[in-house]
Amino acid sequence: MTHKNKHIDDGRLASFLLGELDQEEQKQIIDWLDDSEGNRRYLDQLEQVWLETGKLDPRPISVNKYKGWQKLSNRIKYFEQGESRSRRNPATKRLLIYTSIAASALILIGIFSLLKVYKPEPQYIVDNNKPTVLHNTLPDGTVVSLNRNAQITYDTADDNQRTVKLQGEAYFKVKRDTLRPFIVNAGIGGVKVLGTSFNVKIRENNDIAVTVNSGKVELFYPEQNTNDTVRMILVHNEEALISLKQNNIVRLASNSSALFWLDKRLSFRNNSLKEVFSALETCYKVEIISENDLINNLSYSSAFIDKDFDYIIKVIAETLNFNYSKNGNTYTIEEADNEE
Amino acid sequence: MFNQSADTVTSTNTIQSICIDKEGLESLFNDQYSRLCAYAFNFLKEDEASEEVVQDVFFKLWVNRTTIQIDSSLESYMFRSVRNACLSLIKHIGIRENYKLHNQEEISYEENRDIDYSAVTELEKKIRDSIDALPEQRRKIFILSRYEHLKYKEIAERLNISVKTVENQMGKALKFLREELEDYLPLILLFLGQFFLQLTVLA
Repeated sequence: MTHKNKHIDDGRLASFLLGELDQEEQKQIIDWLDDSEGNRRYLDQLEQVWLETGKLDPRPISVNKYKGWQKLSNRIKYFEQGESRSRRNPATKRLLIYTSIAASALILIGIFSLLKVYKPEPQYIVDNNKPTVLHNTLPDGTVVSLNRNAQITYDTADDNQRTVKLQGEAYFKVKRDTLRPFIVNAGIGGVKVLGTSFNVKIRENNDIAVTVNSGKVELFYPEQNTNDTVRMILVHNEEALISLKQNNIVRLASNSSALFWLDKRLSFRNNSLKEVFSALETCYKVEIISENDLINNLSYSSAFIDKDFDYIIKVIAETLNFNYSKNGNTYTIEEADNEE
Repeated sequence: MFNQSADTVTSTNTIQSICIDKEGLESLFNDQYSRLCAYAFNFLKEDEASEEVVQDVFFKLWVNRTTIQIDSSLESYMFRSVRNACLSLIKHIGIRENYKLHNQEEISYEENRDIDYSAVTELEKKIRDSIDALPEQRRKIFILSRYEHLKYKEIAERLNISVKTVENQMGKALKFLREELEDYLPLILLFLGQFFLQLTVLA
């Protein structure tokens, strides 16, 4: 293959085959093809490869065979360790109890070294580049849901704590383990928990918004000037922001739609209807016209999971007794007709 | 491992237990893992879930290796297990409600279809192995382009890289595959050559 023209490399040829070039660029390739029979044959071969790979059925997906095998053999190893322990007969078991009391220290050391030997690869990475939410169970049993473009790296090498590095937004349902706290490192600060569920969102400006769904978490943030760590405890339904600009952790009014990305979850707690409508508009891409302040100032509490907009507006209208009319994606809120 | 002629499978099925050791499992895994994942993807349309299902099938195969009785080759047993696992995942757990609603037809089609995916040509195996051997990022790009038919621009956006990088990676992927498949290319080209020859004769 002769490359008279410097710009023609494999990348360009691939683009040519895939129709990614404009006319001018195509002409360059055609000139290059006319340069030599070898060039032409080379492109033919690339094209053949392209065509042959297209015939695969079922079509391949991107898998890492090596990592896959590691994962499987680790699972088998753990399983077989458990098997060999439980397979002992009762007599040996009794004997084992006595000896184990005497030699518990020794056994502990033994288990510890076993863990060292069978430690899986130190990092466990989950990466979501799909438009849909990705659910995954981490090696410790924690369930994590990743919003689009989020990535987490779980450090499995640390025996004292469970550490996760987060990019983007994720919801964690942490498996309770009081001996090993679960820590989410989210750039400028983070969240430390024992067992609970909460949402962490890293915003464009690196600020971290944390919403707690159940249990209790501790936010931490190393203050810029003194490097002292600022901490704040958040409980069920509370929300806070770790903010670089304010150089502090600040409480936020709870955001009723913080978990909408996860499973269309909305939770209103004494919100005015005005707030409710505004949240619904953002989440469901609808327009709600409501000009009656009496209605707008009504207070509303309820939770919805995975419901469509028509259902929600119907429920709210029935609860708070108002009418609405629908025109495409625009909903107009009106007073109820009073029949008394 | 299992060499049975086609008629034994259709008429008198011999039931046998499988006999596999750790090395056997590893070589089965190396041969079939990515194909089984690809097969699972047919049903689940989700990479992660597809791999989970296949992992599970391999794990169960190992755990129950002394009790499983099969009447076909181990390969087609694996494909059947993956299919059943996928279908029960869709049906009973309903992880993909939308998928279930919109693809009911496809599911019943897949249920009734009985293609033996376990049979594979040497060329196909070589192509799959070569794709598996691409570095992670390059493999992702190649698969998005080749099998999800995405444009460079869409791939770049999805993976947060530049269009130029996509082009380079595609070039490298094709070059690598050409080298890997070099031994098979003369054969393919030969067929193609004959085809052209026939066309010329006809004309």
